[in-house]
Amino acid sequence: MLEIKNIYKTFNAGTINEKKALQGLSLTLKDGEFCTVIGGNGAGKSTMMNAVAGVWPVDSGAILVDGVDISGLCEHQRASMLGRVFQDPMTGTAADMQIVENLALAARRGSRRSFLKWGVPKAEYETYRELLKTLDLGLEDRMTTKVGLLSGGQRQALTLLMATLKKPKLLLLDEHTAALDPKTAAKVLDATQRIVEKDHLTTMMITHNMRDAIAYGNRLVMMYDGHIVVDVSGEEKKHLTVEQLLNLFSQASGSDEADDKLLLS
Amino acid sequence: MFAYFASLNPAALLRACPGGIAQGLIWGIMALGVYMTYRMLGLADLTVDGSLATGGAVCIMLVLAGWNPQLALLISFIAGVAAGLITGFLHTKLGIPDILAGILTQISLYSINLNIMGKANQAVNVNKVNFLFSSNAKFLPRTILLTGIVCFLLVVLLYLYLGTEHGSALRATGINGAMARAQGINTGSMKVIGLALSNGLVALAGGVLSQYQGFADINMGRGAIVIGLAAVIIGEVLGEAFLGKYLNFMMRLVFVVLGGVIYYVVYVFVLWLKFPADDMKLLTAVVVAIFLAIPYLRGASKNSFSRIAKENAKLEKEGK
Repeated sequence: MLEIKNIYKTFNAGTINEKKALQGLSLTLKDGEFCTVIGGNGAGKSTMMNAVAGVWPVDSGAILVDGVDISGLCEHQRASMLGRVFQDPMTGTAADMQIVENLALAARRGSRRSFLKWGVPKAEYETYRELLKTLDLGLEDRMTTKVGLLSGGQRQALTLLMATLKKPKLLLLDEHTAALDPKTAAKVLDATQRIVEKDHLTTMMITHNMRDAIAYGNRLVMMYDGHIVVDVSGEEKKHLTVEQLLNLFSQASGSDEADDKLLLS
Repeated sequence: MFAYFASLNPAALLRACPGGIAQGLIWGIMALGVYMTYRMLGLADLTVDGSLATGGAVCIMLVLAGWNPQLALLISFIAGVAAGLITGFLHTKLGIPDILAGILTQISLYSINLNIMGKANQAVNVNKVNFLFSSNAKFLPRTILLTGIVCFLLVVLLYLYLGTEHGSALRATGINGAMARAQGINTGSMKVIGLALSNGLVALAGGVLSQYQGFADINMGRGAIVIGLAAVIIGEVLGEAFLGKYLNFMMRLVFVVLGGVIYYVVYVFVLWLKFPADDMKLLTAVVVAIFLAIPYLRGASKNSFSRIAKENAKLEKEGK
């Protein structure tokens, strides 16, 4: 499904601000795998996700989806394969447009936008109403509300719906619950779990919450210094504890455990 | 003082009004173009100062060459589209900030417009050519009607376009580029298309304006962006004041056109008050600055440090 092959990315190369963000990162996700990604600040988690999404080109290495190399495609060209939910609830939706307009934009991801077809055909309203009902946030009764009037949690839930409206080959969740209060975060995570299971989506989810990283998904990777240092899956992941995870991290990074707790708790 | 008021002639004002309305409607076309970039895409496009004159120059030169005036307007539109494409190319492909890209195209259009016209000013003998958009007092009602129809058609077309899949994608590009790209929208080409359409409308307005005045002038677009912005902002403020929450998108566009009309009626009125014509651009800039500042100052007065400081000081006094 997704193959990341030995990718490198350095920001501001040759300047005082040089940051080697990705250093020989490789990762392969099987079809239907739900992989959680953890790691301290600056480990390269978001950089990995942006590399896959094509926010900028990588310096070297290849990214393959379904065996096709997409490293040379720019962001909007890859969008048809990817569903993305961002850390900032403001990023994933267009605030000045209605809920249905946002959904209709997402429904056309990967197709040519016609000059002659309506942006939101009346026939699609019912489909969107049913979809919004599944979120259980009451959004189905506010379909023509501007998205800017929704709360952060509602916007993230809507973004999630938009990301999965056209079944993506790969769902990228970049700390999508980090900006939400614990209760809302749990709701959005539950919706995530339900959608991923229902559509059997290959998923990559970055989180800073160790418990979530263990509870969700069937694989867990830990990043450090621009590459993957821990990779756990199957039964082993199910029985993982936060304590074990911290120990794994200390071994892999060869650093002081107390620091890691600060970074990862 | 008395002598000043006595010197004002109410009949002259009445006579000048139809011309003001006609010109206002012509600038309303231009304002729709400015609305497209400024409000829909969030770009401050200064190309328009050049493309307005390009539209006028192209129209007048083609008419002088014996073309049908209406066909000439179509070519004006296309010339404007080309100007917008250049700004779009500079901005999206060469990474030049939007304001600078517009200024570069604008300044290059000054030379291009001179080349089109061969000199700084070209006039058509309006007694020989029958313009549909004539400023001749005899035909002025017809001009107002026709320009009004053109404005109305453009409002409807723009409204319909922005409701299509493509138009929705263009709006999304202006609101949130990251979101648009994540949904597979090529935001670069959306901006180029928006700039092209916008400048097409502006050049069309330039063409109509050149027919109205019977000539094209190298300086006819100077400060056009400010007038366009004035129309957009005056229209929106008045639309919100009159219709409030009932101001739907169609009415918003109508009010943008009306903003142009109101601007020119006020312009005529101020001239009638014997305000020196040389100072009109200064006045326009001041008016636009005030209208731009009002929403900011309103917000700031509700949400300021000095307000809370005063309020707390007052409470403390009363507490004693």
